[in-house]
Amino acid sequence: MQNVILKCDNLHKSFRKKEILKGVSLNVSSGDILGFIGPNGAGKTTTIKLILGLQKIGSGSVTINGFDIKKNFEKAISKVGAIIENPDLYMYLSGYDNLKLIANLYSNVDKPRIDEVVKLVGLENRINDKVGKYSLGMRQRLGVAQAILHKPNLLILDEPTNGLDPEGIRDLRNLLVKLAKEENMGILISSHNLAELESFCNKVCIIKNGVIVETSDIEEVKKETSDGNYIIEVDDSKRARIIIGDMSTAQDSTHILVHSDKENIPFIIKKLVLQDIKIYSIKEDVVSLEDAFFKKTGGNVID
Amino acid sequence: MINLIGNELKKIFKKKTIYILLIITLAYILLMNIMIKVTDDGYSYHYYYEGDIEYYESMLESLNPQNASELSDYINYKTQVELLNLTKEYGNESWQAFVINSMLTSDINTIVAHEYSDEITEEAYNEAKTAYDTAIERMDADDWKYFVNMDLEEINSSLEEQYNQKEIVKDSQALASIEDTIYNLELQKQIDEWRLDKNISYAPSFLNDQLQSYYGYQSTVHQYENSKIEELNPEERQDYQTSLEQASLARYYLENNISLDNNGREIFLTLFNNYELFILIIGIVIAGSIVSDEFNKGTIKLLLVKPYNRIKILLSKFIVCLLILVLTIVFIAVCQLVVGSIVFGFDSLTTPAIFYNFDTNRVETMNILAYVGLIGICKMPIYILLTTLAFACSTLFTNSALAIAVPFLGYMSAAFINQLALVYDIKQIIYFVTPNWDFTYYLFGGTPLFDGLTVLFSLAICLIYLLIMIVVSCVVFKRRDIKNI
Repeated sequence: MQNVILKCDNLHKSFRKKEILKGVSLNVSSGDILGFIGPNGAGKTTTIKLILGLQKIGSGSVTINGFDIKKNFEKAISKVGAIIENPDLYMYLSGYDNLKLIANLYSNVDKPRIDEVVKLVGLENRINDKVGKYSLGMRQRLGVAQAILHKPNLLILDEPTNGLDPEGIRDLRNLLVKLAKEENMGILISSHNLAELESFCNKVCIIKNGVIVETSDIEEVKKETSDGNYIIEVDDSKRARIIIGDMSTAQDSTHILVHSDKENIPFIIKKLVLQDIKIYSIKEDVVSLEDAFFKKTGGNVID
Repeated sequence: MINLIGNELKKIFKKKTIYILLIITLAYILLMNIMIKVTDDGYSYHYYYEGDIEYYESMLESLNPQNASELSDYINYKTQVELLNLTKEYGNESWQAFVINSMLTSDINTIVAHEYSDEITEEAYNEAKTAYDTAIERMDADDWKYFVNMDLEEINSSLEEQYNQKEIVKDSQALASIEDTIYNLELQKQIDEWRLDKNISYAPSFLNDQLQSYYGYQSTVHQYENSKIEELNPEERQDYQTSLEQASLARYYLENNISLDNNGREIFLTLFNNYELFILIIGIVIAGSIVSDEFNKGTIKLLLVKPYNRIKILLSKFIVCLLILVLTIVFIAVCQLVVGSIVFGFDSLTTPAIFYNFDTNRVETMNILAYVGLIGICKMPIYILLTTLAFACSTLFTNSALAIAVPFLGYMSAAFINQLALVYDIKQIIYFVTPNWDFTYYLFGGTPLFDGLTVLFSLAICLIYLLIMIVVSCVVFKRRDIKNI
């Protein structure tokens, strides 16, 4: 079975009496890409900072590769790569020098490894330029490069898609999927941009107001909120509704929503055709992750 | 930890800041040496300036020698004009200029007076005229020893007279006064003998200066030694010690025929007085920004998720600050050596450092590099403590501007604080850091600023302040939550 790399257990954190995290628990196993979803201010970045030891844990525990982050920081963090908020690199250094500084701090990174990673993120043409001259997208790539340089088995990315163009997002997705599959890395991605995460992740974890509302496989989430809805475009939705019966609702004068098993659909069509109803189109009502998310969390409400 | 230190050094040396600071320092060193070279006019004393003669001549024109009330002024101005003209003939830098202005004044005055008034007897005039003519003859023959011998003769006859008097006088007060006079005459005699012995003419030179300096300081020392040294107040004691030091040094230079006229050497010896501000600027700017910059730019997050304990990260930054401090001092010393040698000549290192040791009461010498190194070690606590203060402020407030300003305010007010404590006699000041951090006071038997200070005590105080700052920085840095940046 998959082994658990990151284990957060009942994390609490307060700033000046205001409780930011109220018992957050989540696991990341090797090969997982976990989407950490929540509206702004829900506690995503705080959770990540607790995981990385950047902030003191109020109560609860974070265990990475079996080491407690509080008690055994150096061992726990040694196989973790991360980008927190923006990829803040040294602007006055070249991309290569930035990576070299990171490489100096790990014993397993040599020059060929740096070149390999640079190629992987597609920066080989600009690696000797000063980071100050990079676009935000290039900085994100360099951020990813510095995060995976030392071959971590846990990658934590805070809002990695910020500032990336669609092509950049696609590249990132391909890279992450490859890392998860080939290197068996566990990946935690936070974002509020659900549409993007949909294509990234195989698991999802929804946080709201410092509480985890939902943790499940992405396919399950979708299934739960969307089994068997079809929309049929007809010339007269009122008549069609009467013909089909209780399992349908008219959406407007030409669209009708039918809740039914897939096997039943041809019979419904046959019924309509026999009654001289004109059918222009029929499609399955696919619920996006976003809709599922809004359903679960009840909209973006921040205390 | 070596990796962390290496990385911090790389970050500093990849930034422009340090190079700009070093270039400014080098420019200042160059400027300072060139300024001293340009403005230095040796040991010459200006007996006259262009325009002096015209001034006195215009004064003469307004006076009428026939008028009895203006006669004495007229004679005085006329004498001045004669003196100046004669000096000008030989030049300001000549030994003759000194002789003219110190030995011929009265003779010329007599000759001038004879011309305009009847008060001068023919006999006196003849005597003055002969003396004047002989003097001119000897000056033209470049025979300064003649004047030394003449002076010696006078001193010897005065001495003989005083010794005779001493036999007669019984009153103790009068006896003391005679003893003083004798001491002074013996001192002058010693100086004249040195002149002849070491071949030091009256012309401006380092050793000629030392002769004058020796006479002045040694008589001060003699005065103090006549009274009880234990009863001197602190200010007088300071004056006594300075005089003793200066007199001893002058005597050492004269006896050993050492002429120190390489200004490059002097600037190098006082390296830490001349360039202290630059050492501090570089040390404090680097230490004041090394932690706070990472916070302001957000790169601290990158650093803190590396498999290194926060204390290790902080201490390696601190060690780098100290390294930069030492490097800066070495840089400044080397620059001064090179620039000084180029501007003033390459013999600056051949003569050792010469100083007075109050412990052994002797003049001692030391290799010049060792001497400057020793001073540097004694000044180091100041630099280390101020750098650490900048570092601590940088860690505590994560604000570079504040972290740079605070140590400078401390540095500037240190002398003020000490002075205040001296004036109001605040004993508790010895537990503060400012009276303790300059160890040059303890060098060569020197006396510390305040009573009750010893080397070990000062060392302990400095260490305590240092440890407090480092421990507080470590604790705060270790516990700090990295907020959103």
